[in-house]
Amino acid sequence: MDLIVRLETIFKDIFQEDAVHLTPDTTADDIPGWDSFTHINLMFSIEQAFGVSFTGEEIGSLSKIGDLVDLLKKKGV
Amino acid sequence: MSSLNQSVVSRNNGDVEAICKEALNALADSDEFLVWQKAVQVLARRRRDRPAEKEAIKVALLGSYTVTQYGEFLKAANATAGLNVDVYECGYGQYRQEILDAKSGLYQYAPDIVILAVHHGELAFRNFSDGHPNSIEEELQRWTSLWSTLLSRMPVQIIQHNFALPPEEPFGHLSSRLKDSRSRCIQMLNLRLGEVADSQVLILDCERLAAWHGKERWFDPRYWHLSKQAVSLSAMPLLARHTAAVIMAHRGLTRKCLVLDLDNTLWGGVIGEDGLAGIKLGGGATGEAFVAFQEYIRELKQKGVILAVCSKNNDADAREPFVKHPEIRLRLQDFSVFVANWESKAENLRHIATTLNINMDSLVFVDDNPVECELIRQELPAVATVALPSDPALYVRTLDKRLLFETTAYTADDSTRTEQYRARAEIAKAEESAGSMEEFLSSLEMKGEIAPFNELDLPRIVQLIAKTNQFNLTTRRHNHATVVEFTRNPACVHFSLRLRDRFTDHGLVGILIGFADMKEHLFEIDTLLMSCRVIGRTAEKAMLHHASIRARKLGCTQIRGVYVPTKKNNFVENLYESMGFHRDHCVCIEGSAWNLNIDDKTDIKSEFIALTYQN
Repeated sequence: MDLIVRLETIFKDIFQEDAVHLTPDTTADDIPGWDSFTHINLMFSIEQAFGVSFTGEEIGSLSKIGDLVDLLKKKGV
Repeated sequence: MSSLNQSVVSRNNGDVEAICKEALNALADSDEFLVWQKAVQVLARRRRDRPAEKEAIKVALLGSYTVTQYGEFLKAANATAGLNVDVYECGYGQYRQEILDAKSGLYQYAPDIVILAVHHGELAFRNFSDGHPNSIEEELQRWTSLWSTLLSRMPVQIIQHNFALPPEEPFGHLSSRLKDSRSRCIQMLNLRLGEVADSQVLILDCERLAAWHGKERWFDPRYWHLSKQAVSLSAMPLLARHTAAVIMAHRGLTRKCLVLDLDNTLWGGVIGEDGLAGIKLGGGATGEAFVAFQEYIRELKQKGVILAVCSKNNDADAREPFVKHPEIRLRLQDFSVFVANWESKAENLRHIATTLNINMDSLVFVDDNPVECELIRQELPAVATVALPSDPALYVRTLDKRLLFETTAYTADDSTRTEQYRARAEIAKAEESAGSMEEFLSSLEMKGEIAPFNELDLPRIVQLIAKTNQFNLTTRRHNHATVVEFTRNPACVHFSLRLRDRFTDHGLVGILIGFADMKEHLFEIDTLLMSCRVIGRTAEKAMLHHASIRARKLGCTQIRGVYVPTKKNNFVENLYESMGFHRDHCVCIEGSAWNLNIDDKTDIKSEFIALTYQN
């Protein structure tokens, strides 16, 4: 399955919002409720779902879907 | 994609209750973060849409670290038990100030329960004390004084987290020998906290939980540095479930009675089939696992859990191992109620609850059979049902993980509770109540396949003929050669039944052999037997239905069934009578003979099993 589609599933569960539509350009500003607290839940969920581990800095800085997809690909997903 | 679309549709339809229920059910035996995360979000959404109706238990969560997720997970964990919890969260690391300041939000909130969710970073112990040795009593007093302050200002139950030791240890293994090492002091402090806590303070043993979860995963340094999570999100399901269990215990909602199946639950094998020498108990890996399970249960009894038996067996068979087996760990007197019969288990659980005069929601039902477990879940949802895994080595862990018997105190009275309840049981009378067996049977979606004996099935057929004791009308032990001979006899009707349901494929479980007497137009059933794993599924009706069709094709107008009593088969003594056969006293035989006229009106069939035929 397309990485973005898999990410969308996680986003829909966390934000309880079915209208979530992700593109590589989507950022935290585009999604209501994506605050620093939710960000932690989101990043940990993505780590668990994809079986990857981000560095602390990556977790702290990721806020654009395109960057996230690139990083997941770099980690072999 | 399709499952995704489905969830989108149902969510938009606003069927929130069903989604919530499904999400909560998934939490019962899962510590998976993603499963929990989803349930937590679903519940949060429901709370936004519709405020709770039930009055909430007010919990103040005072943390030395970020506890927002803990609070959310705690609500979900309590919701699985039907408890509505409201959470007040103090500012990050503000727990001490909130307790000391009489005007703080904490006191305005007036909680029922205060949870001190603190971690080892709050402790003043050092590894090098520079001539000022660590004082455990001083540290202890810093915590007990917080308790006293809280309790002097409001009536509240305190739940104190004890301290999980970090896995990293600069002093290595030497630290366990150094009297003043930090890790040793933390261990001492944990012991002292347990000693001084009275009934107003319950200890949540985070040191044990961290060890259970794996300390490397309990504390994730990345998330600590990023957002001050001293307990990692991966451990949140476990922590929340255990906290909820302690809250339940505090509210007096702990389960009281453990109801146990016998065959393949307390020992391996089937006592009615395998006999005392054939069951697995002790003497080998599998048998040892059953012994370990019995020993765990014995300790639960010691703690005050009432034990009961609910087994499909002849009563005498069921009791035998408890009296005679050398490796048995539980004794008959350990059980307050002992029910071994062929009634439905739902019926028997009602009987047990009535006899002990306790509610259904006090019962825990343990069985290895997933179908029995599903039946109880459907018919008696208030009962906590524990379906055992296929490997008996995992029985103790499976039961323990459900946290159904958490208690807040232990008294001498607890260990004698069984005796009290047994006395009560002796006085109480059984009460009959209506079941919904039909609903259950149709929900199983059973499919039967009837086939004449063939070479591939022959080993299993001969094995069943040799082994089956309980559901066996004549117990004629035909050997392999005889059975082969039957298959060559044109007057012989022989077939097997395979049974499947929506849970499992039971395989080849039933056998019927009969002979047509062409002159008398009489069809006599030589052998009718069924594996005990499918007793009570109406499969015998399916088999007799097929036998009557075959008999008519051979020109017979009457079926004769024979019952030959043995020590083990009194369970089927009245089988033919219950299906409308009439006793024939003229037939000279050991046991009894039963006749049924077969014509168009003959109506033996199982409406619950869809049959297919092989030729």
